[in-house]
Amino acid sequence: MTEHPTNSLDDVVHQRVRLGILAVAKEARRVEFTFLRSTLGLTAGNLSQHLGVLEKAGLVTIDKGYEGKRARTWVQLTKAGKKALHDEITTLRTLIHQLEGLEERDGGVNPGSTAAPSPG
Amino acid sequence: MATQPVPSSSDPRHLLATTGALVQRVRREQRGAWFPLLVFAAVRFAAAPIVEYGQGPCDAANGGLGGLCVNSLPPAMWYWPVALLLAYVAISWFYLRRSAKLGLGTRIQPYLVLGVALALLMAADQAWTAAHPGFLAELDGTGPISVFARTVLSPAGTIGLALLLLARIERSWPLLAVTCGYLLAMLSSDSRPDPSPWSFLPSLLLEGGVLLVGGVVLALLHRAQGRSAG
Repeated sequence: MTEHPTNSLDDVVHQRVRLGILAVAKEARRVEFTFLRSTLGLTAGNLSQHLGVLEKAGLVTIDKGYEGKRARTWVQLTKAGKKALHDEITTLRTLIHQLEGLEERDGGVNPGSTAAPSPG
Repeated sequence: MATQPVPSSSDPRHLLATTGALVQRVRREQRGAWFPLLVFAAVRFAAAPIVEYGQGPCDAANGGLGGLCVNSLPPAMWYWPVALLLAYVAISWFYLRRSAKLGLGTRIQPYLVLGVALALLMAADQAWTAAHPGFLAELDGTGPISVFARTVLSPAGTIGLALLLLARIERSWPLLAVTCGYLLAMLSSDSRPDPSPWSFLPSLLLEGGVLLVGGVVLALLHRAQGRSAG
């Protein structure tokens, strides 16, 4: 018997904000704290908490420094972070595939079905 | 009144959709290829009078590869390597400045490395051809190897090949279309021999025009997308 895909979900990554941080960081060489904050619509404290969780799990690195007189915090995805993001997306797609199969079998409607552009 | 179920924040479809939308937004914000296109259009237009009238004395019997005199080292010979390197410096500056302004570090290094490497390869080929007239003259044919070698070693080809990589990095279909159009214009303009002193004009207008129009269209597209997103 195959393992249910929900068992593959990583609690650290399976969260809207943290998944968003990883997806944004994957698209760039590095991303600044303020960009993440405005893009994800978070407060600085909330974003710091999520980044702390991701950094502790080894999924991102955080570099603090100065550009001129301006303090900057740069976030960069690690190899483990890239793999975690890839695994999460794969698991989510598997889940959706299974859900759609169930819905088709039951002849039910497909609530909240949304076309999802590939993040990879 | 029927109510729609609100997707939970951990609903897989909702998570994938919001993540996908985020990714598209970040990709859109990073795109800045209109600048390299406009820089290379300027470089291409400026090349015409310099390469055409800056050749110095040239023995027609020893006329060289790519329209360059090979029996001397005229100043025009240095135009392309210097202009391309300066163009890549300007492009680096542009992307670095944007990166600092947006707070988003673009993965532009592979494009710059390839562009500079191709420019240096082209300069080495020109220097070698100047020192050894007739060397690899057989590559001046119409076969696929000749066309490939001419493309890689020509100024227009180095610009086009590096732009192909930029289109991949920026995941931009419009840039890919402009680059393909530019490479096609370059290849077709090479195959039209014309002895007139204005023979450089068609290729100048075609290649420079494709870059200029492409740059303007991409800049307008970028601006329109920025407005609709903001």
